[in-house]
Amino acid sequence: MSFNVLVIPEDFTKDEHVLKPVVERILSDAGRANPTVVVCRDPNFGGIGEAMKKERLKKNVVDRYPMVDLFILLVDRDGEAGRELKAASLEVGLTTDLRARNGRFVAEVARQEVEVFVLAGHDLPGGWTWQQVRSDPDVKNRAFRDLVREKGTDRLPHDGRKRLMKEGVRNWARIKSRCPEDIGSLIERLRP
Amino acid sequence: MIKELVLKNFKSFGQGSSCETGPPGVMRIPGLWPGVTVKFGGLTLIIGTNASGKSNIRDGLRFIHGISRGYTLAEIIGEKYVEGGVLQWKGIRGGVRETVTRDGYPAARFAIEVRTALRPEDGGGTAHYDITVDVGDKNRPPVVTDEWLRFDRHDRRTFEWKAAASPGQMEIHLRRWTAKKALGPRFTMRNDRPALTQILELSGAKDKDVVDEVQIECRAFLRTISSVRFLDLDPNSLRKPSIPGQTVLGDKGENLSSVLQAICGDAASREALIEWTRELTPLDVQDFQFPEVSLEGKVQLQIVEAGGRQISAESASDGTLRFLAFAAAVLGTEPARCYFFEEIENGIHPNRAHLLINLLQTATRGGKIQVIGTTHSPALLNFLDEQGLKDASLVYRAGAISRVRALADIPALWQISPRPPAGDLQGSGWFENAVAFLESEGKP
Repeated sequence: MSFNVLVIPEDFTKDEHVLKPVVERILSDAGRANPTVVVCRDPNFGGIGEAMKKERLKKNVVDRYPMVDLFILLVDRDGEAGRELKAASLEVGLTTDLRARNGRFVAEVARQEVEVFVLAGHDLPGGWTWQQVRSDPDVKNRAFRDLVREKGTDRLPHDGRKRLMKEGVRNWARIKSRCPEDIGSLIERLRP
Repeated sequence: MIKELVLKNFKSFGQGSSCETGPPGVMRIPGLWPGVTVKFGGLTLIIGTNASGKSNIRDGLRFIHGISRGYTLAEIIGEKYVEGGVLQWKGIRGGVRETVTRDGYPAARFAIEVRTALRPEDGGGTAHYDITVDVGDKNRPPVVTDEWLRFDRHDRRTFEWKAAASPGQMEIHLRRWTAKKALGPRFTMRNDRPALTQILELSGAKDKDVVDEVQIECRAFLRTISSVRFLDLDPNSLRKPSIPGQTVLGDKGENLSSVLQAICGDAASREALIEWTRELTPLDVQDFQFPEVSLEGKVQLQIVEAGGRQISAESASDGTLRFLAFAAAVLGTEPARCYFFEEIENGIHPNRAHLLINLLQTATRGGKIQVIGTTHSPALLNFLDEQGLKDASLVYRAGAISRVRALADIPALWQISPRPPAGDLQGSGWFENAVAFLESEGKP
């Protein structure tokens, strides 16, 4: 029995190579055997404002994918406390819409940005503590950039996010322990 | 008309590690692996990301077309030169080494099946041809290890490969038409060239009635695969003057001027060509002229605008010339039965894509011309009618292997309501996502 999962990032160009391996591991830990995980490239919301509009999500994503069992919206928190509430509201609203076809919509926010997942799988770049990383609302332009420089991936597509996450996800236990609010929460919520 | 092409272990349409190996000329692969099937309609657009395998479908069709030219397998896969060192045929991209999937080399085979609709004057119905090739190695040429032709109106094959014979030979059985004997006469032929065209050279008194009948069927089938053109239009070739009377467009667009001149010889065709060009370009085209531009008597296209302004092929835009070449190909006086265009939208502005689709749909409507084109253009897909959309196919990779799925066979596409423009879905990668989910069906 197939289990189709569509991950919705706010900007696939940077996020897809981070989110696909992370979601695959989350689903594995949640006991979902052999899911098919695809990252949605369209619409490319290009920012959080568009990515969290319910009507746009419904029309341009949910209604276009009748074969999907689970939608996961995973966007940056960017230090905005209200974003969890907005995500929760989207989750309720869209899951209600999906009830007729037995589908589910889950929305989660990455603290503070999805690049934190990459950092969580690596030894931190010089001068950074994990507390600083978790609380920095601009981690992709600061700690992540330092990691990119240290790893020498700045000439790769999207600063080598694909390679860095592939390496990082080998330290999955460390990622889980470092990111309990988002990754840990998703594992629990997605158990059958 | 070519209805279906099945590629087995051919280029990126490989069969992975399950490739059968064995002594040359003994073992066969059909049946072991179903291969990848590509279906074709009157107008078939093939979509897919870069390096998904779209051009390998073209190579598969070229291989079949090469057979119709009577070439040996080495010539089809490699190159064919004629007297004076003139290159008559460019081989299959990648040559012998890359014609089969790498893991099967050197003792590797590929098979290609093709189903074609026979012309009504040849009795109609469908022909089904299958050939398996051992690609050989540095010491052995490619050889036929299985081959047969069958018409759906008969319950037996027209001919079939029976066995490898002495070195360099193979035994081919022809069907016996009238006698009760199940198997017809047997002939020994070279195994480095398909039997399909060697049969046409059989002569003599031996089983003449059977040979005659089989040759008629082979010719009828060959007619369906010989009139295929693989156009790879090049603006420089399109601009070159040509001799009046050269009415066949070259593969790179050679002879465009003289082909258009021939079309313009008919007043109605000339008007149609002018109308198409007016629609495509902002030019107020009034006429086409073909002044002599060289001592050899070559002519060159000149577009005449209102007010008498003349634009020669030298200064016409690449897109205009490409569009005129499409028109020349399908509206010309000697059209091929099937055209294959790579990246068919090249040089055409997206807001004129509908004209290209309209031209091709107009040309293919009667069923006498078939057009197959690869495209990356969402704009083209947006203008396909329902049948055109069903006939389009997606080429995609499942790991290292290319696969093909007709859009008609993607159920979700027909479930979305209201359905967004197909080009929007193509541009968004929706089709690749949809087949990724389809592939997951049956997963444990």
